[in-house]
Amino acid sequence: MSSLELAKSIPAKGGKSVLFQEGHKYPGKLFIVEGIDGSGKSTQIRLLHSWLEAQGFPVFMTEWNSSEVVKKTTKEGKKKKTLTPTTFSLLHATDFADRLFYQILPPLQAGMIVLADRYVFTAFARDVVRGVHPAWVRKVYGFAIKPDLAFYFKTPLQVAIDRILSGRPKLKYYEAGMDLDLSNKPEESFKIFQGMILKEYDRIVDEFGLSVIDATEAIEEQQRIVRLRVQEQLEGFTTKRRNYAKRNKVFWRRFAIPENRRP
Amino acid sequence: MPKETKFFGEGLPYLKTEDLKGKLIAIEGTDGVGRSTQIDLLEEWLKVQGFGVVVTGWTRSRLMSRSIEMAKNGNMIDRMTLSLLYATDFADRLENQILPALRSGFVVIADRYIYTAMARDSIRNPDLEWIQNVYGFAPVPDLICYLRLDMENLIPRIIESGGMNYWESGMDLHLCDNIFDSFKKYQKTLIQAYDNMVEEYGFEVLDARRSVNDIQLDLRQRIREVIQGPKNILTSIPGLKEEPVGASEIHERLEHRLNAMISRFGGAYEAVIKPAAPRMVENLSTESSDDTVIPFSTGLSPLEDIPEDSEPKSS
Repeated sequence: MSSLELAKSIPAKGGKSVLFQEGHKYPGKLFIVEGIDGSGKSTQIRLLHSWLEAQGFPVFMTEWNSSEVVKKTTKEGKKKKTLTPTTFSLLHATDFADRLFYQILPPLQAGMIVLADRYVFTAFARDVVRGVHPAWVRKVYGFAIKPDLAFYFKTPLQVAIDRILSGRPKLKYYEAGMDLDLSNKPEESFKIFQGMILKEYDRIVDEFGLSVIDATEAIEEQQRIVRLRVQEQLEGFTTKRRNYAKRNKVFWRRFAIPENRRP
Repeated sequence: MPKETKFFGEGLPYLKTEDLKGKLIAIEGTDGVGRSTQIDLLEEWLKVQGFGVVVTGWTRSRLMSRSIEMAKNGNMIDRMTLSLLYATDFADRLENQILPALRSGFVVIADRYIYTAMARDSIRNPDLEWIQNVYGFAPVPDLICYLRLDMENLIPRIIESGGMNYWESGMDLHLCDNIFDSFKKYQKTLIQAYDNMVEEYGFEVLDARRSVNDIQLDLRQRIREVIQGPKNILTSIPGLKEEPVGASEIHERLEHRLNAMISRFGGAYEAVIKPAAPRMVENLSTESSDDTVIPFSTGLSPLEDIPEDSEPKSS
């Protein structure tokens, strides 16, 4: 059975996934961005970050695959090329769990805005392309919370590929999807791989109702729409930072012991 | 007929898992029930029978051991994250060790299986369904032997065998303020968790209060029932009824036994047995047509079992 056929057997309620039936109950807000490599989502989330901070909102940002617990293991597995679709998927789930409980939930509980560069949908797209069962990977992430707003930066394949290949001299093994045996040439493999992920994302957009942004538009135009939609979500959200952490004007700090004389 | 491999859930859609020739045997039980002693004995016994054996432990994969150690040493780890680390470790061993072994017809003995994870998780996470789903990629074992020991008998064994550690005592759960009470409470809950799974997953329950020997015989009896497929070799199991077999099967058996002896006694035997082996088999095949039945001798140690006429005749 192909992963596409398998995907049709996902248990669904009224056409929608059983995951994320309910929103979270925390006082903070969670906004996430999704899209294939080269879609420009990271640029957009950074712009959003600056804008929110400038308005005085306390913002916390977290990135996919950045937790310390599995960092070395993932790196080693990638280097030795021993990762299988299932271990690849589970390692990312472990990373996500660690970040969810230590980086995402505490700020949300504290009423902050959390921005996530990639969320569970990245796993749903990539891991299914690698061959794991679509229903299984959704169940693995069953502990995830529903974002308040999830942007999907829709990019035609060729645009994304041109952006990536012009900026990166050499594609990495897993990044290019070389583990899937699509092609011997990294560039060719990368193209096929990203094309498959793109198709998977299209289904995810429908399944989870992601907010689609046309990533071929000018950066500032995309950002305008992003901010508009975020603004709607922030209606009635008043948690702002009252005082800035600029303590360098406090007099006693002038007498602090210089770095090199500290015990 | 190809055997369909059963999985707990969705399985591994990207892998071919039909017709795994080997057998997967899980040995479960809390810490201190004597799993490793029994498994050592089983491994030896099966090898003498001529079976290829692979023993796999919980959290022994190369990939994950560092992450898991790191997570256990620092306490800043969420329970779900730890559960996922274990699952990743298991997936790594499954795909790089267990499945290849089963594919080539080995008997795989799993020192703990996913039930351990479920038992531990059922104590720490309220949502047991989640962890069951995570392990949806795991194949269902052919046999699950649960070595059951009650609390009274468990405590002295643990203390004798190196004492209680932080995790075995469930200190992360902050059940009690001292390690002894915490251990007692935690292990009791754990035994209960295993007991709850007996029926649902079809555990064979073995009383672990008995002597090492008695438990071993019990284990062998149950394993024998599982590995006695039509194509399996069944030799020198004390008390096993001799069965007449055809020459083609003898051919297969001899090869198995020779390989087992080679792996057991190393290079020295390889030099003697290997050159003699083809002739040995040939002799048997010419002496009897495929229809003829010959009772295959049993109960001999591998050393005595080499027929005398297997010496190279040219000498």
